[in-house]
Amino acid sequence: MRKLTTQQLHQRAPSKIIGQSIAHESAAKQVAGEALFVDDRNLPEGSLHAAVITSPIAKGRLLELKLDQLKQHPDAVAVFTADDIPGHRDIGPIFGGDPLLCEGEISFYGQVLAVVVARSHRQAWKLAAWANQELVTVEAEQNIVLTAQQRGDLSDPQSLVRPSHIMGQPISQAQLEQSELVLSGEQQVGGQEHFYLEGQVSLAVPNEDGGVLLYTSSQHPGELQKLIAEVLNIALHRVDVDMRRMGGGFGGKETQAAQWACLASMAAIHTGKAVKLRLPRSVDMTSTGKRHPFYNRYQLGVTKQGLIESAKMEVNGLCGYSPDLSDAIVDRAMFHADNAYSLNQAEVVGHRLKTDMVSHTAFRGFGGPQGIMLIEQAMQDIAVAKGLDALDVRYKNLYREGHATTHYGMPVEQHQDLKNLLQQLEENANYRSRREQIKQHNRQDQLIKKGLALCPVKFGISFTAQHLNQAGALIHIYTDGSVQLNHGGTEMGQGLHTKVQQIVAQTLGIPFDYVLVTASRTDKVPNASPTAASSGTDLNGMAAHNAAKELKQRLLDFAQEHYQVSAEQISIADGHVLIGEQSIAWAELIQQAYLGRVSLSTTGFYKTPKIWYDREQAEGRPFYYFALGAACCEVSIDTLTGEMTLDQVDILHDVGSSLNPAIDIGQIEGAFIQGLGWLTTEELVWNGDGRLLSQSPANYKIPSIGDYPKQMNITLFDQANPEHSIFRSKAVGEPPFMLAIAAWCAIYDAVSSISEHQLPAQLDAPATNERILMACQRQFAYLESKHE
Amino acid sequence: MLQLMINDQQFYISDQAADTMLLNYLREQRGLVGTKEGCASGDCGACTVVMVSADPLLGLRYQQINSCITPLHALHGKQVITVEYLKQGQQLHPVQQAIVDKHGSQCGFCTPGFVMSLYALSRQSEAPEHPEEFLAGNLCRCTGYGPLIEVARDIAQQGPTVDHIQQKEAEVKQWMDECEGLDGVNYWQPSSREELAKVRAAHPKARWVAGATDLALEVTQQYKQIEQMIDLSAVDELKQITRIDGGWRIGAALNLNEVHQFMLQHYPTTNEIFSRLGSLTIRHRATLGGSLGNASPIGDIAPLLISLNGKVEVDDGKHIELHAAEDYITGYRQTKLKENQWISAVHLPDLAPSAKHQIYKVSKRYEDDITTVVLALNIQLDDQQRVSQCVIAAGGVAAKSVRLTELEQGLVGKVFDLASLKQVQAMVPQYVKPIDDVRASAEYRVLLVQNLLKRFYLYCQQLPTRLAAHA
Repeated sequence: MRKLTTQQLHQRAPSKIIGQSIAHESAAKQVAGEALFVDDRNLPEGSLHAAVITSPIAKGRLLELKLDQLKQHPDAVAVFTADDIPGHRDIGPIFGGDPLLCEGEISFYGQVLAVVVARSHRQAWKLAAWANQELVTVEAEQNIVLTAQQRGDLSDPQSLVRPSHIMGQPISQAQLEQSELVLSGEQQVGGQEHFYLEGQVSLAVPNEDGGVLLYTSSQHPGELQKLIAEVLNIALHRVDVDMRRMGGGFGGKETQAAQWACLASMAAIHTGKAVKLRLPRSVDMTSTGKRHPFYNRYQLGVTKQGLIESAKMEVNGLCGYSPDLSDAIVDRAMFHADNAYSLNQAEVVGHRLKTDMVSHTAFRGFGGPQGIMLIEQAMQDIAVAKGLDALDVRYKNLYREGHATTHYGMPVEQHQDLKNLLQQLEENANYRSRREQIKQHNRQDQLIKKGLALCPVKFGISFTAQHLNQAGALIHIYTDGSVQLNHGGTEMGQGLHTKVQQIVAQTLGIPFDYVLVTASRTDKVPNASPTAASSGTDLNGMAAHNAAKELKQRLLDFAQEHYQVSAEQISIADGHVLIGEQSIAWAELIQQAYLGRVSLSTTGFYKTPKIWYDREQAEGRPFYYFALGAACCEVSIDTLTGEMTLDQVDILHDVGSSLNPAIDIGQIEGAFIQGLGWLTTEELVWNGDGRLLSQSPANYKIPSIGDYPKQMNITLFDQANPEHSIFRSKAVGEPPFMLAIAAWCAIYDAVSSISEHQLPAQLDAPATNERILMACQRQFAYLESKHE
Repeated sequence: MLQLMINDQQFYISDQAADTMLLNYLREQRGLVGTKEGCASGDCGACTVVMVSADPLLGLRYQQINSCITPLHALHGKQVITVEYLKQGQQLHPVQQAIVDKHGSQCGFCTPGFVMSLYALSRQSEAPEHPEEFLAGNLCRCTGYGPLIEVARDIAQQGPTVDHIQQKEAEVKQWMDECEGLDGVNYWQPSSREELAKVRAAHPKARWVAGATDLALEVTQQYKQIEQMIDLSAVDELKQITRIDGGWRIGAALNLNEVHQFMLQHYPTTNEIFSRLGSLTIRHRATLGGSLGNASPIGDIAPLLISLNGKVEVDDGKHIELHAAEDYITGYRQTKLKENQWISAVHLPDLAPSAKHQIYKVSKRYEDDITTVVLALNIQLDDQQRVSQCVIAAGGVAAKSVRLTELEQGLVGKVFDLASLKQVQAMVPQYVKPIDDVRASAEYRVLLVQNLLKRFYLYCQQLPTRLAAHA
């Protein structure tokens, strides 16, 4: 019987798990309502619930918080302020400046002043609402700064949360003026609320060692462990963090999960009970950081043909009151101020402006989108100035032979691939013939104007902080042959666990479902980097691959000795082990190996090769490789109201050799729509006092199902990553977010078609109906002035 | 005693406060944690469940609702289906399997809500023209919606299938028939006008509630306690549509989806405003009376009624009063309603065959968004092509919905041509004084009123003016 099977097996190619569109590892549980989030967990007996009292002003001082009155309320179990913190009071991730609880100085609207603990979630938040209204006395300062314009001198160190940085060489006015044409432009680029569907939540359970076991929704369990230990003034080994899944992260749970984790842990330590802290949506939207708004400017020296000869680019991140991750975020905006184009001689300056708002933070793209917005507007502006099709301006300026080094000295090795990708999309999307149709439509229709744009994306993959580019994994094989897998990455919906499961199954030669990925835990894989920078699979997939390779080698070595065969005579595929002419089941080999006293557990480790960056010189290779892509968008705008529809989207995107096409396409589609929201309907509005008005889904509008494009075509650019990444794939989390910039450019194109592309569109982001209409009005005014 | 069926279990509940919301009850009291809280304000749909109610004509009806803002007591005599009930043993429900097959879940937090909206879609006897509308009340931040749209279209195409839930319909229906009236402590659900008046007299401090889609926010967002509620949604007289002299009387407690279906037949120009009013999930609960009672400056119902020359009927059990829609709302969230009165119906005269009626809404997002500006116009021309009658109503431009009588006067007696359009547009800044807020600037709103007048003018010239509808 067995022999027969063996023969058949020999003839069959081992099935490939990598590259298959396997469903998300949790999909069946998610649709059944069985996938558990932190708030769904059964609570230990006597668990308590915490709520936070927050600042009603953006800047000033906390004069009084009537603690006695609050403590005396029958529903209040405990109240904690900064004075109750046993250890560190600052939880700033890198530079400090983020007090866990207010120490008197108030820096933003919604800052946490104190924590109140009660027996139910509702009771706790009711107490907090009461305290907010009646027990807090503050003294407000005037002169709230919310914009770059209010900041005045943008390079004044007093205005900054971190020092300014420059890449490239200073460009003088004289140098710019050597070119045929000097163009300049500016733009406001709005921030963005993450609006993960699951809000911030932590559940801290005290342990017998004076520490806690924390269940949380975080992209960075390792950092939570460290911060909790510091806040509690204990060693890290007393704190365990368990993170099974997030209901969305998008960067909003990289540093922003820490405060709630620390507060819940502190309350748990003080009360001796498990404490859950879950933010209601409006508190979450008000009190946690968002994507940085930016104010950007450029000056370009351009040839007659529309070629950039010199560029002076300035990106200004509005960082909020503290640094958080702003240094790296503005750096990434600077790294991407070229997008896919050679700036030739370039000076790229980045300022980190302090503003009186919540400290802005990581969000998919991490400053990259804001940087790319600047150069893509410049492409549109050049096209208008030169009377060219914007796509042709883009082609001309693409990185190319002889012009293939970025302003920070990194070679763009795949520049020819990028050009090919663009050309392929141009053809697939029938760009040229649609351009003609649109011209004709716009000549005939005075009300509805159409616009078209095809834009590339080139996005650098790696953390720019070099030390973060490392990962660990842990694999156990149990005696029934089942495999448990852990790695340092976290699952937030992006399909990381599915991909790493595929990688391990493929590497070991066993079916996909033999492997189970369990919760990310700091006691299984220590010191893990955040799951961020699109690097989750690149890093953790490779670490798990290395662990699996090690285990497989042990098994092969064992089998060689046990069966007295040569290495070439053994192979493992599909859960079958072929040993010469004999085939045994995977589980059987595992049992034999166990009896033969082979270690069936190991760790794997990986660090990204090749990368380095000298920030002093602003030079190096900060990225292992670039992910590439392009989108072609067609829009219609109503010039009476500024309403917009997205009529067609064609995307061609480079994920290297796809590990899982369904998951990759899902990432591309979701990222595009999220980017579309950022650039169209998602508008953060603060009032003059620094209060965030757009603090609920009723007045902050992320895309809904009706915003899906009328036609959407997504294709993968099928080409292996030239670098030795995991199975030659490429990272996919962030890069496609920036494909949506093509939609903004198409709106620009539609607006400027009013003046027959004589006048550039003045269109800040997000291009809400209002901004589109106001941009149209300027076009109409221009037409009128020409008639006069 | 509150009688309620959750999935296939019957519950008799007497210990819950009037302002307990269904979501909290499911998660905290029944351990049904598959249903999620995303916003607790009816905006995101993570909390979506299906409400099954008995309709004398149509049998059992399946409608998705937001459990986060539905008072538990409002479900008396109804069945609630949660995500946990769909899977049988190890077998996913076809709706669930379709989402898995199309890769329609990523982080999975919104997924149970989508499952339930899709389940409601699968139970409709007639496939809707735009099945995606069933998902307009569900936000997803991960997928970009593509796979979920495909699933919705497939379900609509397949039509209703028999599942284990339907197989038990007879039992459910029998249970519903046997349910007696709600005999609550602080939550009353009278079924007739007389009873309503009696309950009102006995509990003058109780809050009126119909769909609770607005009232519930006081509980879930502001942490207020609402101790007593009188639910209007079971009163027969408030749930009927009747033909009256030259028009219609529409009960104030009909949900907006029911009103929408009626209006499609008789006032088709109102279709867009109804299909964009909240989401379908919200329209399954929200009512005409609720919208008028709240008198929000940006509610779309009031400008619509004004433009249709509608009247608001209020009642105290003895006397019925009719108010012109524009008079009924007196200020910011202020109306003429007295403490012992309730809104009982809306009266709409037939639209004259020659009338040109349009209502335009502009909002930041096309669907399920609060209005920036809504402008409703209704004009009639005499045989000289002069404007003989004119109503212009607006929302979002003042502290309440308003009738712009000065602009109307600017048009009456004139031929509606480019010159008179320009004239009336020029009057706008003088008479329309909106404010800046989170949705838009005052400047934009003024411009919108001017440009929507132009849109109406172009419409009267039979020129195409609109972007093709979304979705």
